[in-house]
Amino acid sequence: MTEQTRVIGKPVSRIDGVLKTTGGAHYSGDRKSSDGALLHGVLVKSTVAAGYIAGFDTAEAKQMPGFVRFLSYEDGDLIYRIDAPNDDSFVVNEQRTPFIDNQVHFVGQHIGLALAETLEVAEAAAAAILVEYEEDSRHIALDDEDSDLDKPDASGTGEALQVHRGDFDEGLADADVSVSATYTTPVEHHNPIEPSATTAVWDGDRLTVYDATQGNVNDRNYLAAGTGLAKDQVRVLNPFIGGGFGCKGYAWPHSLIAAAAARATGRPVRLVLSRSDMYTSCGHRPQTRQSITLAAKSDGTFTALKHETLSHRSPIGDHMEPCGMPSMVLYDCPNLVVTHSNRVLNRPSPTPMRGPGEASGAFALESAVDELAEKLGIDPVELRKRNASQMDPRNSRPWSTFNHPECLDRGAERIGWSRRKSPGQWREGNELVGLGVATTYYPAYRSPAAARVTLFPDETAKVEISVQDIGTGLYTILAQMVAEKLGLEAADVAVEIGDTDLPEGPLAGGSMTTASVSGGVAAACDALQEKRAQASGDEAISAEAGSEESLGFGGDNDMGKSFLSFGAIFAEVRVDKDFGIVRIPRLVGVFDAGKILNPKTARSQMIGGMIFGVGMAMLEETFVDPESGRFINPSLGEYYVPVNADIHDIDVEFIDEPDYDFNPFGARGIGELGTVGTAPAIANAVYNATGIRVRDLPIRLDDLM
Amino acid sequence: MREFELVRAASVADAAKSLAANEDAKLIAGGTNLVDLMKEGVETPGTLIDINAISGLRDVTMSDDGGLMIGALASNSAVAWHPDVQEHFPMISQAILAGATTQIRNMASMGGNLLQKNRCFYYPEENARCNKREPGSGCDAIEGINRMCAVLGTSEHCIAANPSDLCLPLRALDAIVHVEGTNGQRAIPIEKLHKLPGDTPYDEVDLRHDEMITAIEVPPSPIARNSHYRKLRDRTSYAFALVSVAAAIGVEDGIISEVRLAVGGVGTVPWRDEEAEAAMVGQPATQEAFSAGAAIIFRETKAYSGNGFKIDLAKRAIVRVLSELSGDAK
Repeated sequence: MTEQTRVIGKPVSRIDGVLKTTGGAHYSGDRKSSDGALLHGVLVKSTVAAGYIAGFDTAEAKQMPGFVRFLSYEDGDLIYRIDAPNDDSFVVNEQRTPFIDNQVHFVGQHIGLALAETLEVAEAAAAAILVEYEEDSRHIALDDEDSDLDKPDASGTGEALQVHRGDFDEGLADADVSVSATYTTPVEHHNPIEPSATTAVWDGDRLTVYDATQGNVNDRNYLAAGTGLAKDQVRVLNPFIGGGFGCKGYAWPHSLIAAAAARATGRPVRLVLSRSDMYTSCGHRPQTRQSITLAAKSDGTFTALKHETLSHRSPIGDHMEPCGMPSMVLYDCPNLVVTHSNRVLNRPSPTPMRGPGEASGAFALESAVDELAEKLGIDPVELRKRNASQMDPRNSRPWSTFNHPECLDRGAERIGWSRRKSPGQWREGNELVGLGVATTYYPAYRSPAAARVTLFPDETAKVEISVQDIGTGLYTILAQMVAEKLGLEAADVAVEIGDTDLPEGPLAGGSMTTASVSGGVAAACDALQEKRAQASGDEAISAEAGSEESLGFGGDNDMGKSFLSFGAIFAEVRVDKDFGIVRIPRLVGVFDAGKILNPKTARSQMIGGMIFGVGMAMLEETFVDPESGRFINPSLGEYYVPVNADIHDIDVEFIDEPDYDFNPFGARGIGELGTVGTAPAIANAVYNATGIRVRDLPIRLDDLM
Repeated sequence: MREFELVRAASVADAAKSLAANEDAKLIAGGTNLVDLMKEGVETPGTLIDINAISGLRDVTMSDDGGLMIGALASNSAVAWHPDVQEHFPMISQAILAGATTQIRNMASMGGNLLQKNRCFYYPEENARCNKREPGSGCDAIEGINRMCAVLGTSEHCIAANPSDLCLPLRALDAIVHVEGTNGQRAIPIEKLHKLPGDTPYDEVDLRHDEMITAIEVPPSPIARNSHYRKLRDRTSYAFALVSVAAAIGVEDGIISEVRLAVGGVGTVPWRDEEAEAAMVGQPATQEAFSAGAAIIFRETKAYSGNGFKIDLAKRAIVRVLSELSGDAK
C-alpha cells in the first residue's frame, strides 16, 4: 500500500456512535425474553477465604414465590470438568471448574446460583441461603511466608520472567552511582461501566450465549468444553461491550454457570454480575512489591539493573504480573537480573488489567530512572535518551521503527520542560509546582484473524469477522479499512462483528485487535478486487481470507525485527504545600504507534489510557481486609476512579510513522500505551514539586504533608 | 433488595401515624442514601412511607431578623442555589455543593441529609463485624482499614465518622431541627440530634420512631456572611471528606470578635468545640491564635492505623480557612 490514503488516517467519527447514544446498542444484559421464559440468576458467594462448604440451608429461599432453583456443587454433574490449562482451545486465569467440589479458595468465590422468575426474588433468595463452612487456615498477606511461592518461567504472553544477562555484580562494581529502592502497587480493579453479564439460551443441543466478553471465540471454546458440546454447537454473541480493560478478556466461571443453569432448568437464564460481584468474579490487577537496583557510570551509562517482583495469585489461578518486562526492553544495560515470584494467597484470582506488568513495572523502573538522574545530576530526559535501547536487548534485533528519543524531545517541548526547577524550588502561592517525565511503551502483538468481505451491486459493502469492539472504535476502523481497499466511503461499509458464527478473529486484549484484523481484511479485500474485475456487477460478490500467524508473543518472530511502541509521558503537577493535595493541570503524551488509522478515535483512546494512569497514580486501590482477606471497598462510591474534576488539559501527539512490516495498514496497537508511563511521570513530577519521593501507589495527600 | 410495601403520606400527621403503626416502616424522600443501603441489604424496611407529596415542606424562607427556615423536603440543590443562602450563609451553600453529585443533590432532601449514614467500609459489608449494623458483633475497622474513620468521639465499639457536609455549618450555626410525631412537635438543637457512639453505636440520632423532621431553622448570624466551607479529600469531587472545615469569623480592629467552627471527617458526630472558639475570641486574628484554637479541638484524640494524618491535616485546614476569612492568609 502506498502512503497516500483516502479514508485511513482520517478522523472519521464512530459509526456506532448514534446507536450508543440513542439506546440502540443492545448489550449482553439487555436481551429481552418475549415469552416470559427468562430466568434471573444471582450468585451466592463464599464469605470465608479458605475451607469447605459443610452444607446449605435453602429452606427460606424455597418458600419465596417465584423462586425456581438453587444450584451448587451438589449439582456437580451440571458442568463438565474443564481441562485448563491443557486444553489449548481457550485461555482462563482461573483454572478450577466452577461447582466442581465444595472447596473454598477465597472470599467471593461462586458457590451457588439462585434462580427465580424475577431479579428481585433471585436477589432475596440468594441473600436468604445460609451456608455452613468448615474453615481452613487462610493466607492473606503478601509477606505471609507460610504460603507457597512460585517462580514462573514465562508470562501469559510467553515472555521469559527469570532473566540473567551479563554479570550484575560486576556491572554494579563498575558503576559510579547507583540507586536501590522498593516500590509497591496495590490491588486495582478494572471497573468497566458495564458489569459482566451472560444470557444463555438452549435450543435442543445448541447453546447461544449473549456474553459481555472481550474474547468471544475464547469464550465459546471455554463454554463448549464446560458443557461438553462441540464448538459449532455453541454461539457467542457480543456486538457491544461497555468497556473491559482486561476483566472480560479471558473466560470466567459465571458464563459457564449461567449456561449450565439454563440447561438444568430448560429455560433461558440471565446472570448480570452486581458491582460487588465484579470485584471477585473476573480478576484484578494484583498487588506488587518491586525492588530495583539501577547503576550507572558518572556519564549516565547504565551498567547494571536488577528488577525483582513479588506478587500473588489465587490457589486456583495462574496469573503472574510480569513487572520486569520494561526492564528487559527499554534501555541498553549489559548486566541485567529480572526475577518474578508469586505468592499463593486466598484472594480472588488476578488477571491482566490495562498494561499488565508494564504499568506496575514501569512505575517502579521509571521512578528509579528518575531517582538515578537526580543522583547523577543529569536531566531525566537526557538520561533516558542516552540509555534508550537502540535495538531489542533480548535478541539484538532492530526495532521496526524507533522514535523513543524523538518522543522524549517532542514531549519536553510541548510541556515546557525548560521551565523545570530543582525539587521544591518552584512555588506559586500555596502551591508547589513540578514537572515529571517517564517513558511509556507497549509490545506490538498480532494474532491470526480471518475476515469475509462482501460487495453489493449498489457499491456498498459488508465486512464480517468474529471480533469485538470493547468501546475503542473497532467498528469504525473496520469500515475505514474496507472503504480504503475497495474505493468506497466508510459510511458505505456495514460492519458485523461480535458473533462467533463469523470468521474467527482474536480477543480484544494486548492492544492487538486492529493490528490483527488488518491482514485478514486486506487479504479478503484483495481477493474481492480480483473477483470484482471479472464480475458482472449485478450480483453480490464475496471473499474470505485469513491473516498470518501470531507475532510479538514472547518477543520472538522470524522477521529479523522486533515490534514495540514507544512513547513519552510528561506531567505538570501542583501540590498544596500544607494539605498535600495534588492537581494535575497538564499531561502530555507523545506516542510512536505506527500509522494512526483514525486520529479521532486514537486520540480518545490515548486520553482514556492516560486518565487510567491518573487513577493508578493518585486514586485507585482495592483495600484488602487484613483479617478476613475480603476486598472491603467493592463499589464505585468507595473505590475511586478519576472524575472529570480530577482531569484537566491532556495533550496527545502521534509520530505517525507507518510500520508496514507489522501489517498492511502499518498500524501497531495503541490501547495500553497511554496508561503505562503515566503513573511514574506523575510520581516524578510530584517529587520535582515537593522533594518527596512516593514509592507506594496511589500517591495520597498524607504522603506529601 | 428485600421486597417492601410503598405507601404515600398526605400529611406529616399521616406519616407519623403510619410510622407509629409499623415498627418496620421507614420514611423515604430523595432516597439517595436509603435506597443504596437497601440494595446492599443493610436497610431492610418492610414498608416505605413516601413523604414527597406532603405540601409546605419545600420552602426556604428568610425571616426579618435574618434567620433561615428550611423545609425538610427542600432539595439540597434548591437550598445551595438559593440567593439568600448564598449571600447570608455561604458556608451552607458551599457545604452542600461540596457533597455528592449534581444528580444526587437534585434528589436528596435536607431532612434526609441530617440522617445520612456513615461511610465506614465495614458498615455495608454483611459479613463484616459492625456494631452499627449488627449490634454486639464487634468493630472490624478498629484493627482494619480505617482511613475514612474518626479520631474524635470514638469508642471501643465504633469509630465511624459522620460523613455529612451540610451538618457542619448547621452545627456551627446552632441550627434547630423541628420534628413532629404522634405526640406533637419538638425542636431539637442540632448538637443534641447526633449521638456519640459510646456503647450503643446503632442508636445514632435523638429521633423517636414515629417522628419526622419537618424543618431546619438557622438562627441569625451576622458573621455567617463571612464564612467558608473547605473540604479536603482524595478525589476532587464525589468523595467524602478526609477533613473538612466550616467556619465563620468576625474580626474587629484585628481582634477576633466571634468564631463559629465545625470540623468534618474527624468526628463520630459533626464536631464543634465551643471551648476552642471561646479561646480565640479576644485574640489577635493571627495564624498563632487559629493554631492554638485548633490545638484545643484536637487536645484529646484517638488515631488508628490509617487515619492519624487527619489530626494534623485538620489543624492546617482550620488555620488556612480562618486565615483566609480574616484576610491574614499567608
